[in-house]
Amino acid sequence: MLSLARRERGRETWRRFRRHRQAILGLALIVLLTGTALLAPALAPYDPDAQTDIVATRYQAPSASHPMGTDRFGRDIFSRVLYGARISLSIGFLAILIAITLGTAIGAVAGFFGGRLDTVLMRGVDLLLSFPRLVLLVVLVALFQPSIALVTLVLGLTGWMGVSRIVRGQVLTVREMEFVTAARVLGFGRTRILARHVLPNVLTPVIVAATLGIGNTILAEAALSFLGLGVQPPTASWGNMVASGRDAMLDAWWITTFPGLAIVFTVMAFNLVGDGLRDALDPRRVA
Amino acid sequence: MASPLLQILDLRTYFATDLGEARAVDGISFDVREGETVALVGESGCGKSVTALSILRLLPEPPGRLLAGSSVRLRGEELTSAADSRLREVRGGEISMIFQEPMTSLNPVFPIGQQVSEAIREHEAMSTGPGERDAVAARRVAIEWLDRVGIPDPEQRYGYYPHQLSGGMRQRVMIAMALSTRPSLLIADEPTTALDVTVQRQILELLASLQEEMGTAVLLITHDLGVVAQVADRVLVMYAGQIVEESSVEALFRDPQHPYTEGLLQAIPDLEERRERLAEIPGNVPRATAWPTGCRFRPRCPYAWSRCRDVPDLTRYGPAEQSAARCWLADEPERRRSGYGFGTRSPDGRREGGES
Amino acid sequence: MIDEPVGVRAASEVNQETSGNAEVLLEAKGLARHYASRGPWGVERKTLAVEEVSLRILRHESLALVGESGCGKSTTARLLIGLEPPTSGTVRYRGRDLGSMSRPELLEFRRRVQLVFQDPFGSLNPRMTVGGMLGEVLSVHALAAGEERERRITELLGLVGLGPEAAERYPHEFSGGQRQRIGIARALAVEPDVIVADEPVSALDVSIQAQVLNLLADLQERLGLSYLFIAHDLAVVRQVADRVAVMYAGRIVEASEAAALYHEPLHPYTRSLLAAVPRPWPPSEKRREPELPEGSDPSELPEGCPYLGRCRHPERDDDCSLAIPLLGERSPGRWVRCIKS
Repeated sequence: MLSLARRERGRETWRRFRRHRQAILGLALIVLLTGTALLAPALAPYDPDAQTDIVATRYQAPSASHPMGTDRFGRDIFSRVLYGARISLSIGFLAILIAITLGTAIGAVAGFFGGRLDTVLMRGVDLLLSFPRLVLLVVLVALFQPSIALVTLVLGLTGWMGVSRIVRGQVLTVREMEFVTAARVLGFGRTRILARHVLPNVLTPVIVAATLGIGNTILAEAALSFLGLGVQPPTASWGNMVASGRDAMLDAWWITTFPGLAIVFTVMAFNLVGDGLRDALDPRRVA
Repeated sequence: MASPLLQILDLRTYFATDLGEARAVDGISFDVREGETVALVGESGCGKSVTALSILRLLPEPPGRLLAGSSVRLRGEELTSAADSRLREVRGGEISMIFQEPMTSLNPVFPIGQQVSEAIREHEAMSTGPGERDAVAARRVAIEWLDRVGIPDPEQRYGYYPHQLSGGMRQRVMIAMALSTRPSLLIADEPTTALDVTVQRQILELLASLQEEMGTAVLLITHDLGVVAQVADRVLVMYAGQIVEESSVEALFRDPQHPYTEGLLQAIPDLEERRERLAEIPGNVPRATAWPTGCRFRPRCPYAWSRCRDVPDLTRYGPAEQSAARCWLADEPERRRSGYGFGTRSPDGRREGGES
Repeated sequence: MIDEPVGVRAASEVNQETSGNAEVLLEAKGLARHYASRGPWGVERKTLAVEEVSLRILRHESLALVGESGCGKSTTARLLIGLEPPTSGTVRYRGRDLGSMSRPELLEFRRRVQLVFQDPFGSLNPRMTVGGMLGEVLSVHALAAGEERERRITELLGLVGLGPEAAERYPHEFSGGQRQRIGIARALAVEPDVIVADEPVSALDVSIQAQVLNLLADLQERLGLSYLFIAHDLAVVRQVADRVAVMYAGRIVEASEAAALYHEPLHPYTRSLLAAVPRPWPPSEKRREPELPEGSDPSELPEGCPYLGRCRHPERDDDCSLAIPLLGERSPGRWVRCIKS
C-alpha cells in the first residue's frame, strides 16, 4: 500500500517531465546512446581495433561500407564510436557516482553538524576549487600509470566539490525546518534525523546536479584523453579518437568530426534531461 | 445615479494547474463607490486576492486568464481591454495597492524615502513650489508623507533602509507610497495580517483617518471579520470563487443571511466568557479545481437539504436591494430555525474527513 | 538578572494560589536567554530574548503565554522543551533538572513533553507518508511493533479525526487543518503529558481554527493532557486557557487566572492587547486603551520600565524610568509588573 502512494508521486513527476519536450528528446538520445553502447558488439560492422591492410583501408572517406570513414590505421570510425560510447558513458556514470556520493556525504556532514567541522571541510572545498580542474586532473593522472579505472577515480575525486556545496546549502535550510525540530523533540538520534529526515529532502538538487554533471564528466574525460592522459589507445574513447585525428583534420575531417559530434550530443542530452528533471522535481510544483 | 468608481461585472479568472482548471474567481459582480470602504472577506483560496489582482491585471497570464465577458470598469472606463500603457498609468495612479508583507513590497537596497519620492515623481502628483527642482520637491513631498503616516523624525528616517524599520513602520511607508499619488481607490490586500494586534489597530486607524481626509475609496481584502467590523461600510463575503453574501456591515453582523457568514461569525472567540465549546464549521475549504456541485457550501452547511443540489442565485433583498445572499434559505427561512446551526456538535461535525 | 531575588521568588510563586496541591509537571525558575550578536563594527551586543521567566505547568491544566512577535514567548517555549539551554535559570520536569538529566532520562523527557507547531506545512516531512511518520515514532521509542503498530497508527489517526486511509498518504495531499491534525497525532504517539502548542491555529483558516481548538480541548479531556499555549493575541486562547501569562520584551508583565485577566486586565500592555483585538459588530469602545506607536527599532528599549515607550497609563511619570518594575502580587493569584497598577 505504501509503495502505491510512492508510485503515484513518481507518476506525477513523470507526467510533468513528459511535458518538457526537450527533456524527452534528451532522454531519447540517452536511451539510444546507452542502447548502442550496450549492443556495440552486435551493431558494429567491424572489429574496432582491427588494423587489416592499413595501406589499402586508411583514411577512407565515409562510404557505404564505412559510414563514418576510417582512421589512419584503417579502423572503422563507426565501430570505434560505438565502442567508445561504452568507455565514455561508463566512465561518466561511474565518476559521477563517486562524485555524488562523496559530495553528498561531505556536504551533508558539514551542513548538518556545522561549527568547526563545517569550516574545515568548506575551506578544503574552496582550496580544491581554486585549482583549475584540468590542472588537478593532469597532475593526478601524471603521477600514475594511465588506465580507465584511474581516469574514472580521478574524475570522481575532482568532481564532488560543487555537489558538496549544493548539498551543504540545502542541508542548512532543511535543518532549520520544523519537521526536523519535531524529530529532535521526539528524541530521534542525530544519525536518524540526518539520514531519514534531512537527506531525502535534499536529493532533488543532487539528482539534477548529477545529470548535469555527467555531461561535464564526459567532456573532462574527452579532454584528458585528448591530451593523451586518459584512455590509452588502442582502446577507443571519444576523446582519444578526436585527438588521434587532429593532425589530419583538414584532409580527413571525419576522424575528429564523428566522435566530436558524439560528445556534443551526449553532453547536450544529459543537460536537457537535467533541466527537465529540475522542473519536474521542483517541490513547489507539487500540487 | 452616476456610474460608480469601480464596477465589476461577472468577473471570471481561471488558472491552468496540474490538477485541471482552477476556477479561482467564478462570476462575481460588485461596485465600489467614491470614498467608501468595501471589505472582501473570505478564507484562503476563496478568490479574494485573485479578484484584487484581476482588477489591475497583475496576474501572470498564462497560467491565469480572464474569461470573455468579464468586465472591470473604472469610472465607466473598461480596464480589461485597456492598453498596457493605460494600465500602467492606472496602477499606482488612480488605483494603488498595498500588500500583506511590507518587507517584500519594499526594495531592500534603496532608502525608504527615496522609494516614496520615486513613486511621487513617477506619477507627478506634487505641487512644485517656485524655483524648486523636481527632485527637491519630490523629497519635500515624500517627507511630508512620511510625517503624515506617523513616522517619527521623517527627515532622518528618509534615509533609512527597510530592514531598519519594524513591520508596522514598513507598512506605514507602503501606505505613504500608495496614497502619495492621491489615488481614487486603494486596494489593501490583508494589510495588517502580518502585524501584531496592537500595531494592526494603529494601522487600521491610520488608514481610516487618511481615507476620511482624502476621500479615497478602499477595497479591503481580509480574512478577519473583526477587522471588517472596525473599518468597513459594506461587506462582500466570498466562498469558493463566488460572492455568497453582500450587505452593510451593521446588517451583516446583526443578521447574517448566508449560513457560511453565520458560521464565520460564530467561530470568533468571545472575550467576555469562556464558552463550553466553540462553534465550528465542519469539513474543509474546497479546492478551486473541484468546487462542489450545486450550492458550493452544501457539504459543510448544517441546513443543507435536497434543494441545495441546485445552484442558488444571488438573491437581492432589503431597502434598495442593498443586500444579497446566495442561499435557498432566502425562499424558505423557516428551515433556519429547524436546523441545528453551528452552535452544537453536529453528528460528524468534528470529523474533517472526506477530503476532496 | 538574578540579583532581583524578590522578582524571581515572586514570579515562581505565580501559580501557587491556584495550584494548591496539584501536581507540577513542568517548572521554569528564573529563566533567561541572551543572544550575542555582532554589530556593524564587530562590537558584541547582547540581545535579551528572555529574562526572569518563572512559571509552572500543572497536571491537566492549560497555561497560555501571550505576547507580540519578539516578546520572547517562542524562546521560552524552546527553553522549556530543551531545544536550547537557558543562559541562566532552570527547567524542571517532575522535579528533575533538565540540564543535568542522563540520556535515558532525557529520552523519557522527550516522550513526555511534546510540541505542536504553528506551520502545518513546514512541520511534516514531505517525503514521508503519514503512516511512515507515526510508525517511526512508535519504533524509535519501542512503543509498538508489527500488527500492534498498524493498530496504534489507526487509533492515533482516529483520535485526531482522520480515517485510517490517511496513513498511506503524503503531507501535501492534505489541507492545512488536516496537517495540523497529523502534527497533533505525531505528538500524541509518544503518549506525552505536556504539549507545548506554538500558535497552533494562527496559520489556519478561520473556519478551521475552531475545529482544531475544539479537538485540542477534547484531547485534553480524554487523555488528561496539560497544555502550554503560545499565542500572539488574547482572543485565540480565551477558549482554552485556564491561566494566562502576558509577556513583553522578554519578561512576564502580567499573570493571572484567565477570567480575571480578561475581565479586569491590570497591566497597561494587557489592556492595550485586549483593546486591540478586532471585535465583531458593534465595536466595543469600553476597553479602548490607546497606545503610542512602536519605535522604529524594536530592540531599543527605554530606561526603566520596558513598556514605557508605548505606555499611556494616566499615572505614568518619572518614577517609571527609575528601574525595571518587579512582578508583584496585587491580589491573590494576580501578578503584575507595573508600579502604577
